[in-house]
Amino acid sequence: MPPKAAKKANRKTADAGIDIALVKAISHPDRLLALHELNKRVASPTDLAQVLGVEVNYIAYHVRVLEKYGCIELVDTKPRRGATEHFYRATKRAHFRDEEWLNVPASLREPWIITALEVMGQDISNSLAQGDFEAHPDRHCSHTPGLVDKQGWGEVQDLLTETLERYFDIQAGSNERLVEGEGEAIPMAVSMVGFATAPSKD
Amino acid sequence: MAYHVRELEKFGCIELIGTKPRRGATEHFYRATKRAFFVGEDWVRIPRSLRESLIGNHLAIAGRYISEALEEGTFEARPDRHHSWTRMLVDEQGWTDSMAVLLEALDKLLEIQGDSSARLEKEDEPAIPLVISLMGFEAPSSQVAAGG
Repeated sequence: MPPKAAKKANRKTADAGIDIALVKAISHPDRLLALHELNKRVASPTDLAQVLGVEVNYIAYHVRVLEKYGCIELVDTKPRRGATEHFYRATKRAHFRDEEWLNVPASLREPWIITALEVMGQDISNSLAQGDFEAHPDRHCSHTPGLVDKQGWGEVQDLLTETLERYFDIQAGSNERLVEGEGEAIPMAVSMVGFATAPSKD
Repeated sequence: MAYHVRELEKFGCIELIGTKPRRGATEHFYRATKRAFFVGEDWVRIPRSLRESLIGNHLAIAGRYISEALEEGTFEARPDRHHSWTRMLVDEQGWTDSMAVLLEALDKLLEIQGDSSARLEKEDEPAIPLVISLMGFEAPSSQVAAGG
């Protein structure tokens, strides 16, 4: 059963085809990061605090918010130092399909985009600072400005969406092999941005 | 800027395709003959110090485009624009497959751009200035230390 807050948040917007609970849940950068982490693996607030470099109590609050909005679920508990550690996994991804994005209120869209870009920039900076960005010589980094017509624009957006779906398949395949104990896990970040610029830029 | 254009020409990255008289002088027009992109072995052969500087420049340019597009409202001008950021744990095969998908996507994007240019030359349709930035890299190692 989805939590009450998620039900309430979605009741108002169900007809508009938008997951407002998801929008609210990931409107904070640390909740967005926590949700990304819980999409990768099962983790407790203690694990998340270590990864994000924040206090356990602070991230535990944001984990409760994610749970309230139905983005994660409790999968296990373990006794730890006289208390109980809670382990969660993600039930949603922080991504909107085109038709969903169109229905997100403009007031929520811009802050979310800025949060998502900040988080992405932070990931790139940390990876560069720690030397992980260049750890694999076949890593990918391309930036391609160009001019397209309307048909070209549509083709580009379809291609990026298809590419994202292929990643999810690759991740699922990797997970199956990793669970069977084959090979080592590589933490990876993939970022794709395709947007229009002002004519003067090209 | 003219100095940097001459440098690009000197290194064979652009070529002169025409000149036009303008205000008593001659204006020179160029087109690119190379893309600022290195694949696999080409990239590995570049000295590390130069690689870091190239990555820094690349990210600074990408960041500038995104900031300006957000400020000018073009980032959100088209609702079907794409923005995704995905963290994952993969094995070696997953890593190789992911990099292949990115390279394939880049090739297809360049094809789409070529087809668009051909249509734009023939048809009276406004061109859409588009930026695509693709990145796939190993995430910060702090995640591994934390048991990731």
